[in-house]
Order: sequence, then C-alpha cells, then structure tokens
Amino acid sequence: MLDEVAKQGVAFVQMSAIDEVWILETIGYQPGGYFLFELLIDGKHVADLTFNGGICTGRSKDGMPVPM
Amino acid sequence: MVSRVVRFDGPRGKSLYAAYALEIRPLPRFSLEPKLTLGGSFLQRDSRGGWWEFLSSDRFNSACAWENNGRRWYDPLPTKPRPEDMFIEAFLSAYEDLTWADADKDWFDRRIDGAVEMLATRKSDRKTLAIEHTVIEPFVKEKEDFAFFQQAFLKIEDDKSLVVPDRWIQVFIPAGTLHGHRKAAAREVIVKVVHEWIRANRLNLRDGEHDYLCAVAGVPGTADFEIKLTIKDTPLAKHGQLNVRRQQVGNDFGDVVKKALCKKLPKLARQKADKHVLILERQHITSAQSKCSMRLPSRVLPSCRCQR
Repeated sequence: MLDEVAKQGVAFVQMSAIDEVWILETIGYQPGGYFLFELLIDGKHVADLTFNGGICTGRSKDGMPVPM
Repeated sequence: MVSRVVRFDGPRGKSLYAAYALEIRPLPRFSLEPKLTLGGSFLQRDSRGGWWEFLSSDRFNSACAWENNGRRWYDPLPTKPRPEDMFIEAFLSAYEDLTWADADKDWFDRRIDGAVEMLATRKSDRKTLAIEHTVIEPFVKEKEDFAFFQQAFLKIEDDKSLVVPDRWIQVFIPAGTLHGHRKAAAREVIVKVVHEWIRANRLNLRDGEHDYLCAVAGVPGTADFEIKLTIKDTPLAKHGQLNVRRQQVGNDFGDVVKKALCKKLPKLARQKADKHVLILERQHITSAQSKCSMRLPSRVLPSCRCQR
C-alpha cells in the first residue's frame, strides 16, 4: 500500500505537509480484538503499535521492541 | 436582486453561523456580515450573488427551511461519532512514547464540515497533532461489492451438506459477478447455479488451486454465460470446511489510493498543526497483497487467510 501511496503522492503538493503516513491493519479484526499501526519510511519499518481490546500491548521502534 | 431565499424554522439566537457550518451542505460562501432585517431575520449574500434568509436554527438539530419557495429539511451535524474513532483514540494513547495519552482531543469534523477528524493538543508543551483517517479498499467499489456478495454468495457457506470431510475447500468467486444484475430474481438464479455447481463437483475437485468454469443459464433477461471459479482444495485432517470468498479481478488499487489522497490530503494539509499524520486503514487483503510480507500479530493471521 505504501508503495502505491508513494507513487500517487508525488502528484499532490499537499503531501509535503504530511509528516507521517501510518498503516492501520484491521484485517480480521473483531471488536475487542487485535489491530496494528505500522509506520514505514522509504520502505523501511520504523515503528509499530500493537493493540488488543483497545489497549496498547506492544511497541517497537527501529525494529527494537520498546519495554511496556 | 434576491434570487434565493432560505428560512430556518427554530428558535432565534446566536447560532446563526453554526447553522451555516453544520446544516447546509455543500456550504455556500457568504459575505462576511449578515444583514439584520426589520423582521428579525438575517439576509446574507452568497458568492454567486444570491441572497439567503435565515430565521436561525437550533445548533445541533435538523433545520426546516424554505428554499426558492420549496420546503426542505437539512441534515444535522456533518459527522457523528463513528466506530473507527476508537482506532484514532488508541493511536493517540500510544503515539510518541505515550506522550499524547492525556492530550486534549478535539473531534474537529464533528463540529465543522470538511475539517480534519482529530486535532489533539499535548498537555506538556501545547503542541498540536492533526490526524486524518481513511479506509483503503482493495479495489474500487469494494464495499458495494461486498454488500452484494454478503447477501448472496456468502450464504452458500451455511449449507453444511456441502462440507467434505477432511477437506478445506475455498471457492473464490470473481468480484463484481452480480454487477449488472439488478433484479433480485436474476441474482437468485446465479447464486443457485453456483450453489448447485459446488454440490455437484465438490467430491471431484483436484488438489491445490485450480480454475473451473461454471455455466450459468436461465437468468431472466440475460444470455447464458460462464463464471470462472477459482477453487483451492486442501487436506484438513479430522475436519471439513467450505469457504466462499471473492476473487479480485483486475487491479485498480492505484485509483483507490488516488481517490483517498484526493479526499484526505487537502483537509489535512490545510489544518494548522505542529504535526500532520495520515492513517490509512487496511481491512481486507487481496491475493496479490498476501504475497507481500505482513507484520500482523500471529494470532490474527489464521483469520486473514479467508479474507480475500
């Protein structure tokens, strides 16, 4: 998805005002279940936030897990 | 010249401007100051030179109006709380090492039509964060297609007599199969044909993923045609399962992303804030995307396999 955003984004001048584009993965999500936010910059995984039941259960930065 | 007159029923009060923002869509552009008439209503000129007359309106309720002598009801708030707001709340609670967890949250687009969804202000340094969220469909009109699919083909799964012991049969029906068949009778015939095709052929499927042609005849007002079913038949020890899912046809994902950026970027970019974050939500995965690496929690993955 981010490849497509990068490809299409060059046509939008407003893109330069956007600091971060996060992907929210809710595939298979049921209320109270798991979902994940992921930040990728230049195709590189930078950070993610994992949730279960609306509570953050995991964080990582530059590929390293952040103690909760 | 007064070319357009609108009267709002409701209590007169200070909420005139709120009425503009909340209840009139699309918003006309008005001159800066309204003129108070002798009757107590307000007259205001729009950018086309037309005049609007307001008697005022309740801020949060629908308003009844007369427009060019025709009675009309306007919608209330442009945006109400939505289920996906929970995702934005969650994001904010953990963003930047939890420093936004206690931020002041302003659900901006609930108050102002066309505004960003969230404008958060961090308590520690008063920095602001504008957030806009949107769902990215795997293909154009995916939601509409799923609505058709759910009402029709998905019900085939309820027929447990189709389940073959020790086999997991996944039937993929091309997305958009029911497009162009607006009459319920026509759709029913197509679904019945596919249903019966599965019944007749489920015991003779080849191992692995293969394409099969399902001949459809007898659809009112339509010549006979064929549906290409992609079926994956795999062993499933001590179980039996049948899934009916959609198969994406073609690739217009670029158009989906372009449309989303067109809609979301302008409002996010024009919002004054120290930081601007765009959140793109993926609810479904296509067969092409599933081949890419995914960073989903392992507990989520089993349910993803069925969600093409």
